Amino acid sequence: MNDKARIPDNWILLDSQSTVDVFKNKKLLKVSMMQKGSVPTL
Amino acid sequence: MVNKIGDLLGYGTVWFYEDGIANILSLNNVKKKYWVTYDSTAYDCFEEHKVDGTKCVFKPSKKGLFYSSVNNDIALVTTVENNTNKYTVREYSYAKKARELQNIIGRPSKQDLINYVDKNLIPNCPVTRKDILRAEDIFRPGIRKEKPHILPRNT
Repeated sequence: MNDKARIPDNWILLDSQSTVDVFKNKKLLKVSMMQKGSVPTL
Repeated sequence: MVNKIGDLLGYGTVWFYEDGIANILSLNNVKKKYWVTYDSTAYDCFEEHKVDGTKCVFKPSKKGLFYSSVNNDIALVTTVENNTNKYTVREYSYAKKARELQNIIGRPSKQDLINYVDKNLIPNCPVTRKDILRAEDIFRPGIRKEKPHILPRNT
């Protein structure tokens, strides 16, 4: 993918079709942690 | 597989997936927490109204993605505490409950709260000593109130 086409890491998108909240930028989150063997429920 | 979560300050728990393409909030989830308005004839922005009167605005990008930039929103951004990676979601969830309980009952010290729980002084208490210790590890120590000075009763 062209770098210019990437969505900036400091953007938070509001998605009307998404059923889960997913972040890729660790810096925006206070805490990150591991959940053993689970996936988000769609 | 997405198996990590994070805490977005002012919002709550979200999934964390480093290889994702964007930071995404589900409108369906946001509207459960906040009053969300949209008027295409006015500002053409989604507005997320918070109880304190502030609002977060999601404006459309040139390509039509509604986004909120957190460049200048320092309050929303805090650093990651890697020492929490060792806990499961359930442990984290109960640690949060422990910290909420501590705040609700007047922010006693960690040791006082442990004593209350150990002696079963809080009816239907959902947390255990371990949850309190995890809360202390995950979150920084809460602000403690000084112990109230109890005056002797006049008899």
